[in-house]
Amino acid sequence: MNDKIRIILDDLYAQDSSLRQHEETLIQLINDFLATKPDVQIDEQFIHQLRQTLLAKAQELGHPPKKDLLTMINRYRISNKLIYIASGTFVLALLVSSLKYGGENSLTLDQALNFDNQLKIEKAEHQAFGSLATQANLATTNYTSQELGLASAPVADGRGGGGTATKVISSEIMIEPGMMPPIDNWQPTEYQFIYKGEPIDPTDTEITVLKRIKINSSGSKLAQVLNKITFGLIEPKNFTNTSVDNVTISENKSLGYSVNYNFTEGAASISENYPKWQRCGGGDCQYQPLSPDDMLSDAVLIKLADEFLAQYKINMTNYGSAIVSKTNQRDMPVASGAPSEYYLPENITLVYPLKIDGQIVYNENGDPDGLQVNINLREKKVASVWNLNTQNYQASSYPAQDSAESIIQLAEQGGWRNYHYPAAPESKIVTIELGTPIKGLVRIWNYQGLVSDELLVPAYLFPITKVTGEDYYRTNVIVPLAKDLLINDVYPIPLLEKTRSSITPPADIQIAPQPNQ
Amino acid sequence: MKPDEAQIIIACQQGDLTKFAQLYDQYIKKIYNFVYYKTNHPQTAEDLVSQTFIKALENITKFKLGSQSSFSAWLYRIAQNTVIDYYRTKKADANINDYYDLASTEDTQLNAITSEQKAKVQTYLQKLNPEQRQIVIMRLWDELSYQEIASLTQKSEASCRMTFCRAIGQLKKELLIIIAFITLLIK
Repeated sequence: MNDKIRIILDDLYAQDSSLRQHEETLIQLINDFLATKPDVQIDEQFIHQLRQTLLAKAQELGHPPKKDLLTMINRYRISNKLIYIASGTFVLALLVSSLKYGGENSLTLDQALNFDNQLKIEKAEHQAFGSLATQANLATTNYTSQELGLASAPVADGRGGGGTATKVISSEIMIEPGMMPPIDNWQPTEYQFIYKGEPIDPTDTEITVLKRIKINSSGSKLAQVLNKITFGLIEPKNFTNTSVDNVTISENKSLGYSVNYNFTEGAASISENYPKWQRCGGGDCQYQPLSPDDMLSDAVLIKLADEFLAQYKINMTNYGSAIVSKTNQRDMPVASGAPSEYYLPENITLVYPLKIDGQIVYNENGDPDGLQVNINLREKKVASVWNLNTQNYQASSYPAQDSAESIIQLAEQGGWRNYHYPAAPESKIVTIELGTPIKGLVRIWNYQGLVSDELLVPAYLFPITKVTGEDYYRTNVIVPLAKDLLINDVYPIPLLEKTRSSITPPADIQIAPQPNQ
Repeated sequence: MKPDEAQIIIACQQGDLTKFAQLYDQYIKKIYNFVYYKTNHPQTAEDLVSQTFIKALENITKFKLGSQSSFSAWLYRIAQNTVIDYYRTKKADANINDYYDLASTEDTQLNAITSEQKAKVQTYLQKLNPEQRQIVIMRLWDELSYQEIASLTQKSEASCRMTFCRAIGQLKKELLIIIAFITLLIK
């Protein structure tokens, strides 16, 4: 008999001691009752969604006391340490232990900086952002191929850029000498995409493209405040037309965080205050690799992230529910592997997809894109939050790709910027089946000289429904619906003219000339 | 009430409503079960549970710490009232205390409980009057304390104990008759 039944029986006997003589019958009765208790299966997704709803509601209902900026800065015990310039960006990191006022006491900013992620979209004229094509803009300059490689690297947070030069870059003629060492016994792979979905009907002749406006007045407002503070080594007030580009505030405690505000990128992030997260200070202390037991379930990871975001009152209105990214777990061996061979990453990434007007935003690989949170498995704690951006956009209409045939044809080439090359005779064939597409927004980067525009372009996402041959890293193939983007789609690396010319583009899509041609 | 729970409630009442998530984590499954037993329908239960927690969040400042009613009893009370409101809207002429009979009509066509299990449950429960049935379910399935049951039924703890005891005693008699009948048949 278990304790639960014992307690129930004791309660009953306290009421009516004569029941004791029927204990066997009572046990049978209670057991029957407990055994017939309905097996309620609660939907974990429901639990998570309701939790999110409640947290959003809690943020809406809660009214934390307002704090002026200097109070806020003082709370973080700022010490005057660091002013540095990096990559042409004036980076001001404030780590000040005490602040001296420049004389005026009325430094409060009741209206705050408006450095938030509330969605604001303003309409711009037709094709207001010029050409949408990323690399085409570089064609007018005299970059070398190496410079082009650099220029196509992701900006700021690693999103976009570069083109998805996949495993399909396959034969010896593909790579310029010196770019990649020869690989023995390597068999090139050709990926063949086959559309298996329903017929599509892209009726829109125009689409709305969004361009994120990164800079607002926050940096200059903050500079006005700092101009009233006496620093000592260099006084900001001696400079003119100033604006704060970057602020870092750090918690001076074990497992503390650093918060970074990048006013030029319109972004904020949280990261480990790295020295405060080190368990080993060198010497004999060595990190032990994580074991399979250290892995957390998706539900626990999501709960940790949700609680953290709620604790720090991060506005999640524009984001969907968390998705645990499997990308950095992809190469993890099964748990039965020998511990010495088992690799578990220190951090697991979760993505809260950005939603604009109900449409999910995807990156160029076709994965949901948005706010990202890293959970440190060793500490079982959120380690970092990034891609938390201001959401100010301009909206402009552009001609749409409205030919179903061309869209499917591009999907069957692996989608936009899937630069693959003709199969070599020895190529291994991998067949990838695509299902009926859904609509979403794809975040792309349009390079304009030294700056890059962040664009959200309506796109078809073709789900990869079946892969025959080997694993494939993507889950969706993307075809943006901006005609301009497709017409000017060019290769990221100016090499292999003869190879490039052997690719047949979709019927109405031209490949733009290469740089330096 | 657990000290941690009191701290969380105080934090919520002082404006940090995000702490409510911890109360939610603690009670979601219990409240879901409680509602599910009264509806036998997952989607309906989800709707009513959502309403329950939203009402609790909106009204947590009204919960009096240190009062006789525990937080769990307060939460169950909201859940129960939400279920009652649901049945009132749905079936104006129904006896709203008799959840099980109500639930066993149309909603159960979609439920996950097998008919065999359900028949067994009903055999027991149909022997009881609605009040007894409610208290037996709360005690055995929801595993509520007598204090919580008392708060929900607005009766004294002693009365709830007595009702439960009588219900089990009644079922015991039924069971003894069945056992005696089966024994006779075997002989």
